Amino acid sequence: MRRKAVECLAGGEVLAREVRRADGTVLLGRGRKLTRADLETLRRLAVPGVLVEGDEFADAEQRAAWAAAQVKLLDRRFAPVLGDPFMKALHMLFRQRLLTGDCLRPPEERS
Amino acid sequence: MTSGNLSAQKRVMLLKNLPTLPGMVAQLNRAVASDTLSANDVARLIGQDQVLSAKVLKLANSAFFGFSRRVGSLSQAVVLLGFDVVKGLILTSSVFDLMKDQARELWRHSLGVSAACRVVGGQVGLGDPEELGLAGLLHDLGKVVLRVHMTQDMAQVWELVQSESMPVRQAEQRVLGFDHAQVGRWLAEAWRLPEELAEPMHHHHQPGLARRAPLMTAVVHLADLLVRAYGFGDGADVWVPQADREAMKGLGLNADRLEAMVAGVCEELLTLPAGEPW
Repeated sequence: MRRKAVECLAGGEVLAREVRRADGTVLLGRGRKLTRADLETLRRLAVPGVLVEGDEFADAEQRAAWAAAQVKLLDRRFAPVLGDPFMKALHMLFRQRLLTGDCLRPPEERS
Repeated sequence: MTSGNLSAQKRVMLLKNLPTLPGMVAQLNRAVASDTLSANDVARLIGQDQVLSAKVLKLANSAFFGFSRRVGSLSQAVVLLGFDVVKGLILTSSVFDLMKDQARELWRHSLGVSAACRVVGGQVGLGDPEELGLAGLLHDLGKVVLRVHMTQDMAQVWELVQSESMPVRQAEQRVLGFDHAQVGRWLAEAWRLPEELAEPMHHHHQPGLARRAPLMTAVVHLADLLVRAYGFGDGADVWVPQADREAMKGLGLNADRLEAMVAGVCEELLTLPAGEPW
């Protein structure tokens, strides 16, 4: 999934996560294919961005290379604490999410 | 001069230069304490500051709150958002205006920890998400103060972090004789912040020392760690710190909860834009 600013949506994108109001009620559900009317609603409510399916990478190879680089950085960040079982479990959870591509920020958004 | 004297001198200099609490927050605190506050009073206070008025109205009209009709007046915004949210907005916008230009990555780190606090708090069934978010946003305020007022010392700190692979806190203690967590405590005391915010600022690296708000401090400790693990923003440390075992026990963590937290934090961080939240 990826974050997309509302002004960059063209319609037809599929929501990867529901859009909720502050009181928790769902405004637009996960899996919904955004219509022009939905975009108008999002703009009217000043929603800055939504999570949609897909990602910014040109192809699977580029995506895999980026994920591998991120995993390497993750391993480095965790290196001194991997002897601790809790930290090791946490490291594995983050590693899995990177390798499966969940929540992988595209290069220009990563710090 | 001995290193103890030098440290005391730096401490005095820093205490003299602590940023003042935005006057409006102090007035709001007093009004809330005296129980004489009305939404109109708060609106009048906010209305004295044009920039802040715009921020409050923008927040009230943002999708995050999703009110069905346009919020056009400050008093209406105060009623709808609640005093705590408005106070948090004033506090954070004043403080972070200090640092945004020079410490963008620390700002992003703080935003990330704020979002992660809400996720962790939700998973362990703790407290008010707004208060948790505020505690996360403020936890590294001591770093902001040090960067603004101790520029040369912080350059030395950074040098130690880089050359000796030293954790930031340790390097701060070596150079200054105190660290950003202690500065956070001084700031919280100067501003008379409640212990629910002061203890996470002071003890987010050692949550076991928190006495009045141990769970809140443990949430901030874990949220900080999760955001550093993800690599969102930059709190200046290169490595993920070791989690405090007792604090983790106190939060009642198990494998399922931890997995849900990591998933939730990853999603939240992905939704955060690079700029201001309001």
